[in-house]
Amino acid sequence: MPQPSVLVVDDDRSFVVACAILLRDAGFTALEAFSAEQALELMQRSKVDLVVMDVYMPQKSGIDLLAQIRANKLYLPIILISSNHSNDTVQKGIGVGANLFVPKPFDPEYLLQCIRDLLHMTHTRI
Amino acid sequence: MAEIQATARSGPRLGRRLMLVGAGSTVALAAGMVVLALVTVRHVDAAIRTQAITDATHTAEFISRHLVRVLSAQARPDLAAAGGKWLEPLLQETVDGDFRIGYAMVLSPGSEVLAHSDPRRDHQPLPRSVVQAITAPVGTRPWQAEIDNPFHPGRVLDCSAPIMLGATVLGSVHVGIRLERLEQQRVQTERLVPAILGITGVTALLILGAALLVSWVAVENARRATQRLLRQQHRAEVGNLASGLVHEVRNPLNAMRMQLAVIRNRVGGGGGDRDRQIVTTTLEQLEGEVLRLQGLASAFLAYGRPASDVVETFEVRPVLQEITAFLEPEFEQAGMRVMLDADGNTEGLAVHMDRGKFRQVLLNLAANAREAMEQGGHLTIGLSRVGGHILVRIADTGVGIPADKLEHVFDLFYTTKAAGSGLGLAIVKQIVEDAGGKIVVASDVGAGTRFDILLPLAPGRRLWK
Repeated sequence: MPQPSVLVVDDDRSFVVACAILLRDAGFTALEAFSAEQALELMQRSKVDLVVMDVYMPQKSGIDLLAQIRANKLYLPIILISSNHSNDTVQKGIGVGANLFVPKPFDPEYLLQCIRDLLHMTHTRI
Repeated sequence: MAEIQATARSGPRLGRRLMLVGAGSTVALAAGMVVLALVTVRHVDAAIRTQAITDATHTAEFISRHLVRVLSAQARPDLAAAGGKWLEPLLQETVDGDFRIGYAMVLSPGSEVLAHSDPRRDHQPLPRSVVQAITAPVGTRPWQAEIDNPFHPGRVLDCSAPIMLGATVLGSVHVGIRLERLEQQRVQTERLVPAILGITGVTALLILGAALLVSWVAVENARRATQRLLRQQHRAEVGNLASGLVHEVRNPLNAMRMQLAVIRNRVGGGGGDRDRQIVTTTLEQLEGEVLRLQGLASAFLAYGRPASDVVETFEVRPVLQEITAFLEPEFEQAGMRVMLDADGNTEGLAVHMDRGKFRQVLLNLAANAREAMEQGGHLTIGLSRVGGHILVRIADTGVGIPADKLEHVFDLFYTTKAAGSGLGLAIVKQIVEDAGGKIVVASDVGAGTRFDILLPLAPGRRLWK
């Protein structure tokens, strides 16, 4: 099985860079995007198996990006991350089709485990 | 917040206006009552005279009717005999019962006194001039005439009624009003004027007091409501501030945990050049996050700090010149221009506030402009005078801000920048408002953004060197 490809989307560059290194350390292929537009472009060009995305981004928010991905009938697993833990944010995210909501700041190991579990479930189901 | 502050200011203002209206209308009311009292007094004289004439004429007519009733019962009407035993006492009683009346009498057509309130005058002839004056020209209707009193010193107003049996005039009844008595009555009434005015004044004062009390209660209620509103607003703001701060802190913390995990993965392993390179870069980024948190803490403190710094009166133009000179190298290096637009009329214009905070406002706005003009452009800092205010205009030719975002630019923790804290413009607004000023923003996407800062001119307006 080839290395699963994970796309990280956040306007916080240092987070995206560090997260990508960690994903590569853990044996994934990591793609980096710093805005929703960039993420959509990357998803058209490359194979993406799972997306980790921030809710709050300038211009297009993570919720809008998520809604657009689902509208394009792309059913890959999506993890929403946000420093805003309000029920409203969580419900909105899950409502438009997020598979998981992980509040910031989180244990990097926990995120990796979530990614592994979601990918495993997806492949098992297929 | 701005609306609430506006309410806080307009509450007492409304109250004061209410009080003014109350006081004004009460004063008008009092003045109206005083005028009414004076007008009444002016008419008292005429009223006393009219009332006396009415009363005397009624009395004369009453006596005349009595006589006519007796005369019509007689086979051969004889006025001299008609009075019998009752006429003289009736005439006397008329005089005794009314202090204004000087005499009452019955005259024959020949103007002989047939009966008189003073029996000594019975059957006395009256002087011709008197008879002419007091006898009605037609003789068939009530008549009044002012004459010298024929029986007593002084002037008298004679009111008479004819005694008529069918169409025949058998005589007349006369009741004389002593004018000196009317004068006495007038003087007595006028003595009441101060009392009337006093009562009027006291009533007006009572109404004024009541109006003021009502206004005061209204003002006090408005003030309390405003305070309550401000307290609620303050609590909400503190809540927002705290949750915003927590939100801002979580992002760098999250990145730091990631960076630490990246480094931990490389600790202990031999590691190649590539790993060493990653560790070095990550450490640098980690340091960047620490600085970001530090900057956030400072900015947060700057926002929370009360506005009691070094307030002074200083001339604006030199400060703007200094700032422009300070910005120039940095802007030019990035391919942008910065210029000051202040004509001769702006010389000496001064404001009263903390000079450092004034600089902070301009530097914050300039930093925003620089970020908005990454493709190049120019920043204009304009200075002009608008009434009692100075207007500092910071206009850039950058990317602009869309309308839906423009309304939030001053909101605390609102940012469209990846590395922004959302504090910069909130601080700018706070500084300007603390100095009694106002800041507004206008923007066209693709054309640029303009911030207008209005600050009150310092008392004395201009500082001349």
